Amino acid sequence: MNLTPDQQAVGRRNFLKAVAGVPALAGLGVAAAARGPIGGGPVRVGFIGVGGEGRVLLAQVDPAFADVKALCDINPSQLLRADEVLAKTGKLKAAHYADYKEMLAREDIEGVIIATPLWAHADQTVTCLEAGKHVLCEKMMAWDVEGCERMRQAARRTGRVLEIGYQRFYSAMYQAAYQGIIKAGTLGDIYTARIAWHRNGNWRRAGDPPTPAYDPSPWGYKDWEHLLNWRLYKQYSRGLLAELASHQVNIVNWFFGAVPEFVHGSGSVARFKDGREVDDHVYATFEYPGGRTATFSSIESNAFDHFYEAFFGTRGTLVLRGETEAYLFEEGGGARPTGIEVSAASSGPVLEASESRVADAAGRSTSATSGGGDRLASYRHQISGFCSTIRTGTPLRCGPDKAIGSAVACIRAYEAIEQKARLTVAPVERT
Amino acid sequence: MTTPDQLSPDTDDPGGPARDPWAGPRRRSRRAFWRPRPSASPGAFLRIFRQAMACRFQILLPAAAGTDIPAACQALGHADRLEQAWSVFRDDSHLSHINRAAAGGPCALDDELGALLRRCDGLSAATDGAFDITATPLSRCWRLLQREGRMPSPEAIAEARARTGRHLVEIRGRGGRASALQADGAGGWTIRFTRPGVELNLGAIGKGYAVSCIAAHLRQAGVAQALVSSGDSSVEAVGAPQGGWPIALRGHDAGVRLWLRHGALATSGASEQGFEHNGVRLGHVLDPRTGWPARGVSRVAVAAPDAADADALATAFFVGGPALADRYLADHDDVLAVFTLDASPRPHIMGRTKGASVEA
Repeated sequence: MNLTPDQQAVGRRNFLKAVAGVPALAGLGVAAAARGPIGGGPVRVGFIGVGGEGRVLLAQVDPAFADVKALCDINPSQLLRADEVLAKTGKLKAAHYADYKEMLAREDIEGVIIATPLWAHADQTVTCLEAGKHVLCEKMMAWDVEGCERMRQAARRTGRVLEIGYQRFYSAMYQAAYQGIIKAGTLGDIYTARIAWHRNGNWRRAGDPPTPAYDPSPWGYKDWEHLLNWRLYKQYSRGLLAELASHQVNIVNWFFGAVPEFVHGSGSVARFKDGREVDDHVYATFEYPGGRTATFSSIESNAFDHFYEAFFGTRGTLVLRGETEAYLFEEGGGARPTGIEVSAASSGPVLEASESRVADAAGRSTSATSGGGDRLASYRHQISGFCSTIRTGTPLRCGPDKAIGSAVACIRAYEAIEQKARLTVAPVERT
Repeated sequence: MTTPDQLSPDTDDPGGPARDPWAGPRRRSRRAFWRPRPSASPGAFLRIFRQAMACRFQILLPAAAGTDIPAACQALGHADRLEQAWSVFRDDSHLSHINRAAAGGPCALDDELGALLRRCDGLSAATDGAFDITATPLSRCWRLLQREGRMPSPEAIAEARARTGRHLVEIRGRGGRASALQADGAGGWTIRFTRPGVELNLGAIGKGYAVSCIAAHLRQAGVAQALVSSGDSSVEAVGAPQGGWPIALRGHDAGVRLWLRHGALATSGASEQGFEHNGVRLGHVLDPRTGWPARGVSRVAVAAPDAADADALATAFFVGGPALADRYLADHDDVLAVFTLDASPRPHIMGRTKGASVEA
């Protein structure tokens, strides 16, 4: 995105804001709807998968909502690192398992939080639901459409809660953007959305196995490399479309109130020809009913664009950038962006008044502004929201029906790129 | 902040509290400073903001007031509109045109500017000239407009003082307070400078006036609760949570807290802008009556019913000190001033206003 001087000023402000240190955000939404402790006490949960993502979730467990009883991972090193997260966040030690079925059999837990490689989601989720557990499963929902459907059906059949990890739905900023701008019609008619997630780097991870003799093949991974870098291999992953696009397509689906009808695209392993099987550059066009279109790009060779969802309407433009910043531009007249932030509830001052400063673009004004903290707050609210649904029946913010809409679109986009074809996105049955 | 989707290739760090840059000591100290007052806890907020007049204009809404966002966006348009019309940093502004032409003969003014200039004249008279929109020649000779700051010669100061003062400006037109809603041209306003070299600059009132316009717009749009501010130095309340909006007055050593229930607040000080000469720190606020940077007051905050008045009075009281405030408050109700003087770190509170209360 080209930056105007005013946008640059905003960018500087955000930079200064980030380095100056401000309190993290606590949003409205869930926190306002269900402030803990909730009736019935915290939900007893177990984790399946405590790698990078699982540990982010683990750190964001609010003890008023959930009590972590057990951790399961096929890699014992991850369990040790998860213990550190528990200790650092003041939580009690939890039991360790390598086999999640054993955890289900032995632990008195009500809910399971799953953060495992994509291909494993469907089987694990269905097994947990059928064991009577509620499930919060990381996105994308499943590796294929059939897996998504199995998950959804299992939730219906068992009457258990199933939420998918689209934390943007638990972000106060996204809720405010939807309620205050999209639903209010501020943008006019929206025909065009652009979603992008640009990074400059190898997606490949380096790391040692827990022991030299470690063999993950009983769990379905050919070797350590295939477990460590599962995101790069087709058998386990749908690449950038599943890991990045599905977040953003889900936002477009939400804001458009529809799912795409067709998708086409292109992509290749353009830069990192290291044996990986998923593209490091991906471009896709999602066609929605009513002549509306969303274009997606994700590249691993330049990070200038960062990541954002942008909606271009006849009366205005909304840019949601980096999951923490929101900008609104009036079409025509207003060259200046209007920003929207959400700040925490606190007993502190809402403003620190001081004399005017030179080009006060640093925006040091606010005692609580959005920043990196937002993203973590969304994870926290997601887990708390999941628990609140279990205890009090508050509606899920995303839920399987929305999640499957995004998953099917991204799976079909993956296939369209592979087949070099324009494909129909199978209509998703709504409940 | 790293999340799994952004992890750099060689790390597998989960992020989480240990990496959280927000959990620094500053936050703890603020919490310690601010005693909880549960009845007035305002909940989560939306901040709608835009850069204008070289600062951030912001509207704070309760988090549940998402439907007020369109009105807030529209209201912020006043900041753009007024900057375009009145900035002396834009050659094409209405005010720049007047500065170029009004020494040559009467210039037409639109109603809003006419009424505001009349109001400035009144504020200038009521503050013994401590608030003065004609002080630009002085700022130029101290090179403060360029934000460099340098010591001028006594002759240069004397020359600039000769081009400063409300008596050099003649404003004609029907009275009434400035309002963006008045029909343009109905007032038949004109302005004339009685000598060349006179320049008007609304820097000491413009932001407050814009805040006031934005607040009026929000009230008219039916917004029940909002706090409008510009660059932290000018604030006006549109309704308030129970007990008022909690506002900290930064820089006042003893930690002054103010609860704004309605009305406005403005601050003035020179610690952020200024320069040193022979080891003496000189601030950017000039005393139009002497031609020298004002001394003696570290900072002052003024609460009054309207943000434009509060803005102008904050500058005037910074220049004139408690002595001027004392004279002003003898004739005017509903104004509160909180001074911190160079000589003492303890805040000095004068006057009172219905809209705000202070805890020092």
